[in-house]
Amino acid sequence: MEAPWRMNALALAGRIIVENGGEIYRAEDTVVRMAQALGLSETDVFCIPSGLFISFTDEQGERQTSVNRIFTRGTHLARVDAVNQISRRMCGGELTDKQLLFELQKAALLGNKQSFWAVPFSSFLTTAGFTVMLGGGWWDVLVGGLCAAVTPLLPWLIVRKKEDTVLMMLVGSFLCTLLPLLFNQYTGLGFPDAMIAGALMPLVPGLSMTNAVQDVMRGDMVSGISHGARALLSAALIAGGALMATHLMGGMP
Amino acid sequence: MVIGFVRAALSAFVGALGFGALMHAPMKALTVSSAIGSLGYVIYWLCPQLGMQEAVAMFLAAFVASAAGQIAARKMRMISTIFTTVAILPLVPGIGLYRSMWALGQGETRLGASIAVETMALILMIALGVALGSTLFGIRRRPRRKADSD
Repeated sequence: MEAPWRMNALALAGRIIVENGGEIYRAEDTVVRMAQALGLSETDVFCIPSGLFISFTDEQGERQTSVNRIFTRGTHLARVDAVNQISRRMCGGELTDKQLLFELQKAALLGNKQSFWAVPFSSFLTTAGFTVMLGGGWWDVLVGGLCAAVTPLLPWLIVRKKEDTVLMMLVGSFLCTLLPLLFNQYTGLGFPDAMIAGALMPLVPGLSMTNAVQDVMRGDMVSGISHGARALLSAALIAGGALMATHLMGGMP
Repeated sequence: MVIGFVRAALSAFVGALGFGALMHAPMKALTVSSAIGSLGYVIYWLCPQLGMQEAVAMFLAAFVASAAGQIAARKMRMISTIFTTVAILPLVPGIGLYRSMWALGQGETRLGASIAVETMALILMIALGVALGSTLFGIRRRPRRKADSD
């Protein structure tokens, strides 16, 4: 039997898209197109947020199937875009078979060597923008932004792990509520509401919920419902942390 | 009015830029999509001042952001996901979900439920606007073949 490199390539392409926050329909569509470009027939793809299943019939008439478990990580749109470019080049015949797997493996690791400060800095920018949008001033930008910048570093600071979503949301929302309240109480500067809302902005699952609604409208029910449930749970976690902080400070912000 | 306008546009741009960077959007697409996001937010900010309802304004803003995102995606030959996702970032009422859960946690069930319903209505409006924008301006996809007959 021939080496299953074609199946590996298809599975890797679909996996990169779903793992990095691409839509389900995009993963299925890309795999079907690539399979067609590889000359495979009767391709069937079934994708949900936690799995990818591919079947095709090869030249000998043999049916091949692969089952892939997927663990969704964060959102990395550049990788999704890279896979799309590869698939486009392949369908245009610009990519040889040998290059394909190599290019895909490169796409999977794209942006791996990001600077340590990139995430805190982006969080600061996000919060700065949203704080002003919600009616905050310079002090709110500064305090809210610093809280938001510390939040993604929390898993590393507390348990020396690079990623821990639950911990980040609970402790992050606690800090993002407590510090602005303390700051406002001792200095009397700024609006705690704008600071807190802005600082929580990188955490809150608004986009996740929007994507869930879009998934359901497109017909990807499993993906829509699981994303929606996760968005609600994240909102509950964040509210939990924030509630602890407000109770600690005694009452409403 | 003018100051409010500049403030809304700039803050939406910066917010979308930061959030887009958090989602690792490619640099080339990031500034363009943030500018589109800023445009969408300005529409959302302006429409209620002209006497429009918030939900309608949200729908219009999401539609414009999505349509512009689709066109930009085609021009730059990149996936539309980047552009539409980053462009609707300033619109998404993420803080509403949190506020609703916060109220529920405080024991204010009614307030929590009403915020939740309002937020979901706005989110639905965004989803509808984005869907309309991508149907009208998106790349037409060939119907998928169930079994290739060859």
